[in-house]
This record gives sequence, structure tokens and C-alpha cells, in this order.
Amino acid sequence: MNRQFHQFFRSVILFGFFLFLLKIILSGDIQKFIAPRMMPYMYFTLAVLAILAIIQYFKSGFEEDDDSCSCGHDHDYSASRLKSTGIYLLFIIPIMTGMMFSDHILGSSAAANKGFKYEMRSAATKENIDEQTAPGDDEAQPGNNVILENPGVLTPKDLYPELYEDMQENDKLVLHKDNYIGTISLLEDGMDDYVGKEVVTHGFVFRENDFPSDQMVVGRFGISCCVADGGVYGMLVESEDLNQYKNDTWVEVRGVLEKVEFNGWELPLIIPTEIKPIEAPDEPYVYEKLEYTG
Amino acid sequence: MNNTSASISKISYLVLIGFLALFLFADFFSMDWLDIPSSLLDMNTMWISIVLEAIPFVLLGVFISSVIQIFIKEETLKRFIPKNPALALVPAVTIGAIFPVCECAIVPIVRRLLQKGMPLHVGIVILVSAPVLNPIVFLSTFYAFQTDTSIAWARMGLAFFASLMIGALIYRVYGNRNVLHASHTAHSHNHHDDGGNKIAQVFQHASDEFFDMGKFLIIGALVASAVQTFVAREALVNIGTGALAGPAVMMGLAYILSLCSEADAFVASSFKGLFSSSSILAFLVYGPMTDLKNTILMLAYFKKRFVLGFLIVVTITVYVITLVYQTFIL
Repeated sequence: MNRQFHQFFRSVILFGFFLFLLKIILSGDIQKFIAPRMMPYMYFTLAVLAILAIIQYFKSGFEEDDDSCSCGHDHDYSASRLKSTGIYLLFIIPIMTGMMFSDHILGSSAAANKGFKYEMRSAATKENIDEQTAPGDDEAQPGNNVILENPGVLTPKDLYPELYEDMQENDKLVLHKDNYIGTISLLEDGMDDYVGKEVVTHGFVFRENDFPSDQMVVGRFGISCCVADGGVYGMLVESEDLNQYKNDTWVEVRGVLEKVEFNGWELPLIIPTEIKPIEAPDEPYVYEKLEYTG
Repeated sequence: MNNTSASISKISYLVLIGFLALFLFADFFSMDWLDIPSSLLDMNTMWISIVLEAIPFVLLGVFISSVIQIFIKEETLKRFIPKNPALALVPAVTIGAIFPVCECAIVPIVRRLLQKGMPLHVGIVILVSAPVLNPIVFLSTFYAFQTDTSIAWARMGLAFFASLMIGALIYRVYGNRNVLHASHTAHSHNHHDDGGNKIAQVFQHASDEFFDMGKFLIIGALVASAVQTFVAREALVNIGTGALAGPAVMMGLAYILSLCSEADAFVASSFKGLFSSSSILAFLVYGPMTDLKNTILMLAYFKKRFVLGFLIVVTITVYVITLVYQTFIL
């Protein structure tokens, strides 16, 4: 494995990354990896990868230029063939699998693993409350306090003031991709104002292992930066004959909002009047609105 | 020899053709026939999304560190360091804070600074503070934790105090002993002085560092996505989220994942809601200061015993500082 080979192979890999990024940007599949507000960084990456690939390609032609950089910094061209093969495979595999499976959408299996976002949060908040009622108990996750005690952090009402007013005034709540996270956050914040209102929502079906057969969650993945930080925003649906809706099918649900006690917390629950299967939307994820940070 | 060269370049072309074929045609063929379990696909998607999201920040860091490595002379930096060991910590942290150098790039820089006569503890303060106390890391942490901006500030604050403490402890324990391998004698640092070549060098460095660090990033993202896909979050919570175990678990995770400090905030943010803020801070402060890949890099230049001592000092300091923060400030 000589230096020239390394230089050339690296330019091929950089070019591969460039092609992959270009492909998912052109096809729009990039939204299945990264939230839209990260896009400027993606264009920057695309440009830099192109430049680096070109420079690396021309460098591969000049083998005699070995000492152009004597800066004591290891230009690690591994001598061992096995090791370099392994390292380059590390770069090649994600490029290839990325191009092959770029349209994959996270569904119920990931949801079950990550946990139902509001349930997770509720659990954390609950401990928080427990701790406030029992201040002597220092062992219980004091860190969670920061969420409530930090005055700089906004409650859902501050985050979505217009949406909050809309929801107070209207007797019918219709969720769509732009108000999805906001509506559900507000519902979780306090159900009392909304019980009895009509609701129209949609999402994929998923169930946790311990769900009774008359319950399921209809939700969507909410992403703040990249898919790895996603969590499920959704609402419980309770009815007979839910078994016909398999996990991962997308449905639209019309119904009436109720509240339900879950681990001592009030959560929204839909008593459906109509459930119909729908096509999965082109943009399967919803994105957290973060511009409001103070 | 010629034969192997020929077969190797054949491989490069095959890979290139593979990339082009996938670029052009992958969308026209359904991959359903492969029947890959959806959990594996979930992992693949998360893996790539972490890598994609980290790359711009890695590239930014790589570029700036290349520019510094090539355009700024260490002698200039050295002139600003006072003789008094305690006073010397201040400019060291300042240097660390100003210079947006990744933890991978900082190791060879510090080695060179030490060779040129910089006191050991000052060098170590730069080593631990530069990767975490820097504008790009602040920016990415701020982005990743926009719902709780106190994390970004606390990360910087804790890292600042931890760096000073680490510097002081290293001074107590090691004084100004030579902890570098004897074989690495100072070598002259004469770059060609023509300006055009320097620009070329920046790109040379950028590309090389992209590969040097890229492999650690890709492995780190792979481990992180595998943990996320196959270990239910409840299990992680069960390992330990308590006041004492939480930070320790997250520090262990930071060490193993070896993420670049410019990108680790995004991984950390996927743990919010699961671990307390102080545990997440332990992850964010400890990871850039030392981790598995950094230890490997350090062993290349520093004596084994020192690397071990350094690890112990950093680990204890960050753990204690996190607990203090958790107890008195949160």
C-alpha cells in the first residue's frame, strides 16, 4: 500500500461521501436523517467534500511530494494492509448503506425502544415533584430539577402562545405537521381545558409491550437535530377492535379527547369515532421548533 | 510488487464505480428483497445521521486547527506564558479557550509545545481545555440543547474549573518532569515559506485529519447507534441514573464513544430526559478532555505511566466537579 494509493483511495472516499450527500439532498431523503434547520451545514459539507476530493485527487498524482508537510503531525497512512482495509471499509460501508437505505423511516420498533416521549418526560417530572415534596431525599436525581427551576426555560405555553390561544378558543383540534409537537406538548401540560373537545390527528401506530389490547399510540417521531435524538410524540387511543391496526400503519384518528391517569399523570386519550388508514406522508418526521429559546 | 499495486488500484476503481452505480440507480430498486430486520435499518439510519450531523463541525474544526497549525508559531504562544506556575494557568486556559482545536489535533500540538520548553502542567491545561472550551463546541452544544441553554454555559464553566484543577494537580504530582518518550526528540519545524504552499498545506491537513478523526467518529457513531437501537433506554436508566452513578455511567460512555468534541453534544442530547443534567454535563466535560481514542493518541507521545496518571487525575477531577455542581448549584 503505497502513499499514492492512499491518496487516490481517499479521494474516491471523499467523492463517495459527496455523492451520498448530493443524492439525499436531491431526493429530499436528507430530511430522514437531519432536521431542516441543519441544512446550511449540509451545504457547507457538500462544498468542502467536493473541494477536498478534488485536491486529494490531484495530490495522488505527485508521489515525490512526500515532505511537503514536516510538521510532526502523523499523517497516518497505516502500513498494515489489513488495518488500512478495515479503516477504509469504515468509510465505505456507511456511504453504501446510506445510499441503499436512505428512505428508511424509523417506526414502531425504534419507538418502543426509545420510549414514548411524553411518558419518559412525565416519569422525569414525576420524580421531580416527589423530590420537592420530600426535600430530604437527596439521592433522587436532583439534576432533573433544572428543567423546572431554571427561569430561562420556557413552559409549553410560552413556547407556543398563539397555538395555546387557538386551542383554548376552538372546540376542534386538528393536528398537522407544523403544530404537531406544539399541540401535544400543550395537551401534556394540562388536560383540563381540553377534555371533551373534538380532535383529528394522525401518525403511525405503535404499542409498548405492556399495553392492553384496547390501547395503542398514534404518534410521529419528533426530531430536534438528527434522527438519533428523536422521540415519539403521540396520543393514546382507546377503543375495542384496535387489533386490525398493525404497528407501523399510518392512520387518521377522529375522536373526542379524554384524560387518563398514567403513572399518576394526566395524559390525553382519544376515544375514537373514526379511524382510517392513510398513506405515510413524504415527510414522516416532525421537527422541534427551537427558535424560541431565550 | 507491481501486481499488488495494480490490483489495489483496481479496487479503488471498483469502489468508485460502486458509488456511482448506487448514486444513479439505488432509488430504482427496492431493497425489500434483502429482508433486513427493521432494527438493523433503524441502526443504520441513526448511525449515518450522527455521522452526517457531526461532519460539518468536524470539518470546521479541522480547517481552523489546520490554519493554526500552519500559520501560528508556537514561539509566539510561548511568549505569553508567565514563569509563575499558578499564574501560568491563566494564559493556558485562555489559549485553550481561544483555540478551537479538536482533542485529536491538540495532542501533537501540546507535544510540540512541551518539546519547545512549555511547562508540563501548562501544556496539559491546554490539552484538556482547548477541545471543550472553544467557540465551535459552544455553538454545537447550544444547538443541541436549545431547549435548555444552561447546559452550554454550564459545560463551559465546569470545563474551565476542571482544567485549572487538573493543571494544579498535574503540577503537584509531576512538577516539570519529562513525560514524553525519549525517542521523540524535538524536530525542526521548517515549513516551506512560500504562501501558496501554505494554503495547499491547510487542505492537506484538513483532508488527512478528516480521515484520522473520521474513523473514530464513525466508530463512535456506530457504537452509539447500536446502543440506542438494541439497548432499551430503560436498561440504560437501570444501570445507573442516581446522583452518584449517573455521572459515572455517562463518563464511561463518553470515554468509550470517543466522540469529537464538536459533535458529542448531539449524541448527549439524545440522552436528555434519561439522565440528569449533571450526568449529561459529566459526559460533555469528560469526553473532550480524554477518551479512548485520545488515550491511544497520547500513548504515541507520552510515557505510559504518565498517561495512566493523567487519566486518573482527569477522571477524579471531572467526577468531583460534577458532583459539586450537582449538589450546590442545581
